[in-house]
Amino acid sequence: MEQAVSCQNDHQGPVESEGMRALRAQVAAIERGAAVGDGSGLAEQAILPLGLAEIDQTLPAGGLACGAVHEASGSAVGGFAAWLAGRLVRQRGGAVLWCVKPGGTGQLYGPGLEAFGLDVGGLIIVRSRRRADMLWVMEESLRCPAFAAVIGECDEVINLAASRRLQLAAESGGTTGLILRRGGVAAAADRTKPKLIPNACASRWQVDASASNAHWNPRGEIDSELGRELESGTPGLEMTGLEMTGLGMPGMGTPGMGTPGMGTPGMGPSDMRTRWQMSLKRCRGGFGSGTWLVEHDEATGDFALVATLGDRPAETGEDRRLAG
Amino acid sequence: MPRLATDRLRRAKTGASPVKPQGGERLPAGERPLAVVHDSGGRTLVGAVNEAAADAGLFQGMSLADARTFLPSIETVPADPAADTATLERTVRWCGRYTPWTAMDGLDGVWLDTTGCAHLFGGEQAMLDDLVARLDRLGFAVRAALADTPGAASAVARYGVNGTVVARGRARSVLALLPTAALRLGAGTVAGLSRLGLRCVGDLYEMPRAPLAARFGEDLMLRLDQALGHVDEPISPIPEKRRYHVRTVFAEPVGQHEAIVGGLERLIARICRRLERGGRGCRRLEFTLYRSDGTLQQIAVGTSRPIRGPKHLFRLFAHRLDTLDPGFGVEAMALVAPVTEPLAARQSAFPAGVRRKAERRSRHSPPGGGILPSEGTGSSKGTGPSKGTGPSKGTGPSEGPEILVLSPSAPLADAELGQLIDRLGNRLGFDAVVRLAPRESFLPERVARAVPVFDKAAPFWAPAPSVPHRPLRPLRLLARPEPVEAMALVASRSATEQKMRKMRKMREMPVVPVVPDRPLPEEGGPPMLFRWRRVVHRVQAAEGPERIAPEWWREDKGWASGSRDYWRIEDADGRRFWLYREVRPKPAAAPRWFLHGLFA
Repeated sequence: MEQAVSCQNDHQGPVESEGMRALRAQVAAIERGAAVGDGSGLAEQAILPLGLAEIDQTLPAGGLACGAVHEASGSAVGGFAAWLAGRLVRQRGGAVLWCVKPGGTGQLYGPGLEAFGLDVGGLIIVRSRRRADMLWVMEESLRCPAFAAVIGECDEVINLAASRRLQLAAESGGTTGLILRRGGVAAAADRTKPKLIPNACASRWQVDASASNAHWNPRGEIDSELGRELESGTPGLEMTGLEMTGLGMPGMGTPGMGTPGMGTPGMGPSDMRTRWQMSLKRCRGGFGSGTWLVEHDEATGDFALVATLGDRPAETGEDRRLAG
Repeated sequence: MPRLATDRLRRAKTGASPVKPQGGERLPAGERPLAVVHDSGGRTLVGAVNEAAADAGLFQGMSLADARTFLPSIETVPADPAADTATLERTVRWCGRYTPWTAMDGLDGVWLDTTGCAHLFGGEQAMLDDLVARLDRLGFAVRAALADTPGAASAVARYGVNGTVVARGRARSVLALLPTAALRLGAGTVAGLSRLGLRCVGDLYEMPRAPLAARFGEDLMLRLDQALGHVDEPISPIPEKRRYHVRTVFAEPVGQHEAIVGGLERLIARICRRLERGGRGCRRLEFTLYRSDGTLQQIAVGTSRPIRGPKHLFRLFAHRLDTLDPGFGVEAMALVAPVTEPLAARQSAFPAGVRRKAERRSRHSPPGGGILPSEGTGSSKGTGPSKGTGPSKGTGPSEGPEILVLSPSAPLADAELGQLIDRLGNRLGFDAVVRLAPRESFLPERVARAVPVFDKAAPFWAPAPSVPHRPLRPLRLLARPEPVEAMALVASRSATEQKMRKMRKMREMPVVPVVPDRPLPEEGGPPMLFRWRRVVHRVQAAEGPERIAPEWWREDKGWASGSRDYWRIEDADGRRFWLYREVRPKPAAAPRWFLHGLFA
């Protein structure tokens, strides 16, 4: 069974040798349930590159494995899931199913999902209150090849047996699953000490919101426009909002904005760009773990690595090998 | 007509039919003048009138203004053509008691082909009288006639003596005295004929055909020939309403689960064949067990769109079958499809993409997709016997691929998606399986709404922009905004400091006072500190305000407090919130802040 793993791994040359690659492919084939040598047409494992070279290098075969189940926890998993699902849809085509837990922290909101690149037209939302229902929905949907991604929200831990079931379903359907463990905004207590209960997810992430480098300053540095108005002494901050309603046109934006309902802000690039701290905790067949600070590029919709890594030293290749 | 004695009957309803849908019985109001009115080209015209109004000289087609000069007290009802048609259709079906061959004639008439039926009611005249009397008792004013041809019957019923039976072969002489309008001609043709002095049908008999046809069109001659029986005019009866109801009666009560499962499978196959013949698919199926102790057991499944694939329908039942209790035995069982919708026949060719995916899947997936243990056994029990002997296997309705469109930007050709939605919907309820539909609105909570996945009436979400825009809107929206305790910058420095001191005392939080070094307008800045759900968040960055005003053309309780200034707020941990402040709080009240959404 010399089925090769998809070859998007040009940039990981120093990390693995040719022999290792062949071995990995063989192991992967066995893991996918093929008898050695019968050549029963194992489809080559599809890969979703995240578009972030440093992270893709750490992942096996240069990207997130499709046809597998991944897990993410943390305070920014919603956006992370929307972004990943959007990428999956653009790469592989198909619909997205998002199994939400109703109540508490609100309902999925179309315009917000769109901002992270998810095509809301192809999104099916399933509401399930109970964990058993959510697992059942995920398993059923993962078997359905019409989906590019199946996302399930769950507050509790998914144990080994359940995650293994989902993994098998994802393999049979060729769909990618993503389990979101949203602790809610308030319950971020275990963030500092995450307990990783073993399960069969292909990769496990911790994605947390991170403070952007924008700082609100009452002198008006939020927005360059506003700032200038404040500096020039005009009562800008309030006036910019009032002008529009004075015309009696509800929700009218500033001319040229093109977005109805939009007020003054949003002119020009924002300082308040979304930042996430993404940590890869576990990854099957990967090259260890890592933590990266990424920032949303509002022009392209993709994420880019932030050069300074906060208070944490950058990981070296040496570290990665040891961890793997 | 030499070939077959064709008797037709025509019934015209005037006045009674529009009242009927509203009043049910013929109302006492029927005594008072009543007219149904409709707008036509800027004028209000009188449609049908009741007897009292007709006695006063009103007639169909006059303008309401004229009618009021005749009869100032006239009561008017707006026309409801749909209800009229529905009533007429019910009457057509009711007339099936005389003959199976009934059809609608225009908007206010019924055809009955009474060939071979009249003797059952004591002859043609007796039958006609019976019909008129019965409909009269039902509250319909009827004009009826019976003649050799539909054309003649129509003419006599509308313009001749009510209740006339035109004897065989006498149509020509009876029609001769009727006005030309009786031939179902256009108003222009009738007017043209009367200009030539041709006022009665009889006048046309002697005229040369060719010039008439040249001047007024073939239609005139056709109608004349139809009335006289020179040209056959077939009546196409309204299609029988199919009822989708199948049942099985057992020779003796059965109690085994397998027997019930097998019986259900046969019933499903039968109802699916019937649905296919009728060109329909079911939206709901009810399966009833009649137990020997006289009680019933029933389970029902719903589908997200019309379907008639037996395998899929069986699968929907599969995991519910365990809940059925046969008790001391089941004597009979029935399967009913109370809700059906049109479903066109599909050809069963697979698009290449679906086939490839299906092959790949079948290679990988184990047979009999067990979901949870209990359901797995149910489904495998069910599909087992059907595989080889299922009557629907070869000849039954095809379960070819359906093209399901989630949105124009994401057309999906996969039968499995629809089946999956059905399974999810039957377990979680169809209102729990939704897609988002856009709505034209400025209010954030109205922009998107959840609709059933295959709701064709709801608009589709526009394709995602090629370049995703800035996350100006939250990822999650709270069902209703939640009030937060917030501390924002206001104009007066001392007021700010006071508030800050107060808040710090309350929370015992180390607060670094950030005081603006220039005055801000009242209700000015974003909050610096807010508490939501008992957690205090310190604001690190903010963007805004974005003013959203309520839609004055709509009544909306949520927006009764007026415009809102929305801010995108980032706290010290980088979490983002969508907060707003009411722009015009009550006089002498502190501005109120609300949290409306989360960016995570």
